[in-house]
Amino acid sequence: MVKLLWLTAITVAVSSCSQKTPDDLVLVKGGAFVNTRSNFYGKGVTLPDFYIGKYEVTQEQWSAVMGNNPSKFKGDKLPVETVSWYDCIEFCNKRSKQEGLPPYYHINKDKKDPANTNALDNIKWTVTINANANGYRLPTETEWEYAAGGGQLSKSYPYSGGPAIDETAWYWKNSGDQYLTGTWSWPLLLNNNNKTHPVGSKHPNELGLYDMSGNVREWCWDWQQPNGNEAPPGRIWKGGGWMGADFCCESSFRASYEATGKGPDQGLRLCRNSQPPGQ
Amino acid sequence: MKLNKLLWEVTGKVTSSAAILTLVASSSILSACNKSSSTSSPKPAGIRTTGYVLDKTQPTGTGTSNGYFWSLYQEGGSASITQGSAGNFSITYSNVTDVVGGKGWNPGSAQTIGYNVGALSGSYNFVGIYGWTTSPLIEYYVGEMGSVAGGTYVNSVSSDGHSYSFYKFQRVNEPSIIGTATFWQYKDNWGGAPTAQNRSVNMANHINNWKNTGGQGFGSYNYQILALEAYSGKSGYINATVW
Repeated sequence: MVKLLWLTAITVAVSSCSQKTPDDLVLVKGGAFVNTRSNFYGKGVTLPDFYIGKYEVTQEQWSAVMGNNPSKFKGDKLPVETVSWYDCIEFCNKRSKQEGLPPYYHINKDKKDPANTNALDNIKWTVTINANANGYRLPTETEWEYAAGGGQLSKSYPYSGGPAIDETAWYWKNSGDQYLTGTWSWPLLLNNNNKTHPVGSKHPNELGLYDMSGNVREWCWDWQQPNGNEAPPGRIWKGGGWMGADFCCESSFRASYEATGKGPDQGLRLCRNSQPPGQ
Repeated sequence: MKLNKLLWEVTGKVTSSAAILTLVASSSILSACNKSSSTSSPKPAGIRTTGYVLDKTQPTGTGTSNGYFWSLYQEGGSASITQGSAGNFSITYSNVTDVVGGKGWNPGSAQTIGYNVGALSGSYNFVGIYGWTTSPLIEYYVGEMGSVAGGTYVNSVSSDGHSYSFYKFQRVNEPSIIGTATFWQYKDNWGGAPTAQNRSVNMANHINNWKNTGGQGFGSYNYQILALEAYSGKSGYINATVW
């Protein structure tokens, strides 16, 4: 009888621990923004707990799910790049299905998204979310910035991981053969073989997340609606990459790109709900 | 082609906090805009690959002098820049594949820029104001000498006693200072400025017109400089002051 009680207790304990953090994901404790440099600091924005990738999605991970590798710079441990926002949405759902998780996105390829007025976007799938699913997804801009800033452990660094960009990020100055100085110049970057680097090879941030500043820019879920009447809407990217200037690597910097846009500095980081909303 | 390179060169001055003068080639603007320089392309022929060659300056070709930001880039031939007092500078160049140099501010603003090109000899392609913004990323030009025409004509804007033609040109999936990006170039073309005369460029007039008719809004200021560009084997000399 005593043994039975012990077994029951152990079973309950194990069951309660089955909420363990999935591989390569970090549980980000929610709350209000502590990072005083964030665009959302003091704005009353509060986030629930969520999971986010410890690293940017690697080419190895991408290939295992998608069966292809579109990256310009090849290497299993290099971040995948040259992927559009649509590619990334599909990747999220396919990986969810591979792992038996409910897909987070509904992708309607037959219905053009009427809200997408970007003339350069010739895909315009209508993508909606299943908020109760805990499959893989892109982070929202607020989630990304919260996590990059260190969440509740934030020390309000300008870059994700510290005040010194060279210790935390691969960007235009340090991502090539020689350390570049002075003026940003695309010909100089080409001649210097600037490129991506293996994920996790710079200092992590307060949450143990790597490369949130630099290496590749990371797609977020959100639209950015520029303020010009002819300015096309795009999906937000964050973090800056190997090609861009230091200011792009600041956690607060925001910019967008048409969802069909692809570049050798454009990748992603995965995210998941820790609990379905309302639980 | 050179203008394209110039844009990338000049837009890169993000870490300094003073002014820059930019010299931009004129006739090459349109061809430059049409030139593919995507990141997947092989290195274009004829582009700068050897870094900066400077005289009396830091080897990287940028810096501050008397509170102004300055820059010099040179490929092929020879070039040197000499810093005078305040916003004065001079550049001597000979048989250059391309040279770009100038002086100004970082960040820029909707200010009235004063300048005087005291001496300009030999041959050149462009002299004018160059700057850029982020969020959205916009590169802008005000052509005082030479030409920056090219792209889609939008309208004309009157400022400082003459009329500029506003052209805009969209660059798609191109490498930029924020990474691969799609963005617009705004180019106000005049080209009639004389030498040895105090001149002004009321940037507010240009910027307001860009905001009102460019259709893209306007971003946060980065640097803003008066610059010169000369290329294709040109030789010459400029002595100018900005304030």
